[in-house]
Amino acid sequence: MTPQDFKSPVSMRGLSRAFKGKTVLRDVTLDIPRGQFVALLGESGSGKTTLLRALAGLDDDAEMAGSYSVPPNVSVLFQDARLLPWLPVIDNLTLGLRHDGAETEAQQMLDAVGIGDKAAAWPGTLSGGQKQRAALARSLLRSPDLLLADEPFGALDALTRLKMHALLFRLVERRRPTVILVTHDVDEALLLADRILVLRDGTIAEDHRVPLPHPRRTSHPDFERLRLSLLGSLGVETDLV
Amino acid sequence: MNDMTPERESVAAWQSDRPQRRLARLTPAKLPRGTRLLGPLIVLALWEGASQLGFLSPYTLAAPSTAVATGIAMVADGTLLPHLAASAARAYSGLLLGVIAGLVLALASGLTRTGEMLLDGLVQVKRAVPTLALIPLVILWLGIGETMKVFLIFTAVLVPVYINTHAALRGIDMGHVELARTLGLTRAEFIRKVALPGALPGFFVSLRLAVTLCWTSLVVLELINTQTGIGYLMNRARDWGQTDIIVVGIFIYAALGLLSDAVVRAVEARALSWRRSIGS
Ligand SMILES: Nc1ncnc2c1ncn2[C@@H]1O[C@H](COP(=O)(O)OP(=O)(O)OP(=O)(O)O)[C@@H](O)[C@H]1O
Ligand SMILES: [Mg+2]
Repeated sequence: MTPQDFKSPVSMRGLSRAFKGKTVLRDVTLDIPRGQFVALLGESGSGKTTLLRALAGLDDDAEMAGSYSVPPNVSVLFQDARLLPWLPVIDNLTLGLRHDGAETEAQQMLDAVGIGDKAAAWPGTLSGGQKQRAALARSLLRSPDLLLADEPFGALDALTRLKMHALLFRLVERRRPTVILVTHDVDEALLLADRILVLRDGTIAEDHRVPLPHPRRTSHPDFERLRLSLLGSLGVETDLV
Repeated sequence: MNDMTPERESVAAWQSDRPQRRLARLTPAKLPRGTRLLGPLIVLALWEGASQLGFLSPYTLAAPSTAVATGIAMVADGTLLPHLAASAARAYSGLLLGVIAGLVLALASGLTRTGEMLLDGLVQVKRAVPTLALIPLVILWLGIGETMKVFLIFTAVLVPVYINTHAALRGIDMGHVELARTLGLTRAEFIRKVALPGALPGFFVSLRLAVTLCWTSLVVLELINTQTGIGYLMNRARDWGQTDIIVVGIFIYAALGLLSDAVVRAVEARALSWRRSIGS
């Protein structure tokens, strides 16, 4: 039913998840159009990772109700880069790719994320930022229809994170996969996303459009307004920020 | 550029003013090459000294120098090497079979539920039964010839190879498993690219145990109906009170043990070269 280049939208219908009787996701109903960049915010423990892992098809031993559908080609970007330490960087990228020319594409992708010279290096010799670049390259090399990213830049320093935002935005612009980016960083969400969801107690409590044009500036007054309102939603005393 | 200079100087002054705070190392530094032989060399020196000064009678224990001389003489008159060759053939064929079997069993039991149900209990039972206790039964089955000896070495070696490799396979990083699943690896790709390389360090630990275990099992087995082997030489020497030949045997075991361990370490360092990149 799906032609090769068909990107079915992401949707959830009454999706619930529980671990040993403790409900973590409660009746989540959500539609994400093709190519939309969604940022998922929420306090720690609100169920962001659980939602992402459900869509990725992980945690299949958890109790589940409702249904969801995702496009056939899904890539996951974990917070820890999860490179296999015994494979050189380039082999980590091509892991599981079986078509001819995967190696060449992998090298091009490494060049695109700025670590083209690290193709033959062991992952253990990369810096945290370089590892995350490699992981990003591995995800995008698969030309996903849906990119699921769980705080991929959470462990990076502020400067590297800014560079990674620009990089992610540039790469995503090219092929426009649907993206769900879990983050704690309100600025990150506002810089990148078309739409921002706030998860609270396992349900989608807020659903904001971000109408700002790209490239976005944190100094823009609308940016500042959205930022304060989101921080409020996340329970941060905004007059202190 | 000019106005930077005073600041640089003040930084340098600040650094030299205070003693550098160094963090405790907590783990010992890496040894220079060959220094782990220091302990054995000290024991040898004390032993030799005690013999020369007459504290150790040659009937109790031959001096190392006497043993070395005896060893050289035995090599020269051709009495040592055939025995060494016979022992080595037994030890290493048992080792080879045991490592292969231990590895295959560990893979079967570490990667499949059926395998674990069928095999793990069996190997644990084998582990609990001492090799010596199996000798009478195996003699009844296989006779008292070479087959019996190789078989018993094989069963002795199999156990540590299985235990360590199996534990390594079971202890695989769940993050890597999730990664493999999200990348859509097939089971074969997962085993080849993720499970096996991940279990390799555990396998090498077992290999280091196995290369010496095959020789230790051998001594006992060479008491039984044989005219060849280092164990046979040593036992015959006991009957004649030739402590120098017994010491030659001990030296051979020690040398083989150190050598085998060094070989396994070298192979390990090559196979796990990615590990050197982590930490120092
Ligand atoms: N495998 C699991 N078994 C049991 N409980 C779990 C499991 N995974 C998650 N939980 C629970 O589900 C709740 C939500 O966890 P989740 O990891 O989705 O939060 P999160 O929003 O990603 O938080 P954070 O921002 O800290 O990463 C937590 O209370 C957590 O303890
Ligand atoms: Mg999380």
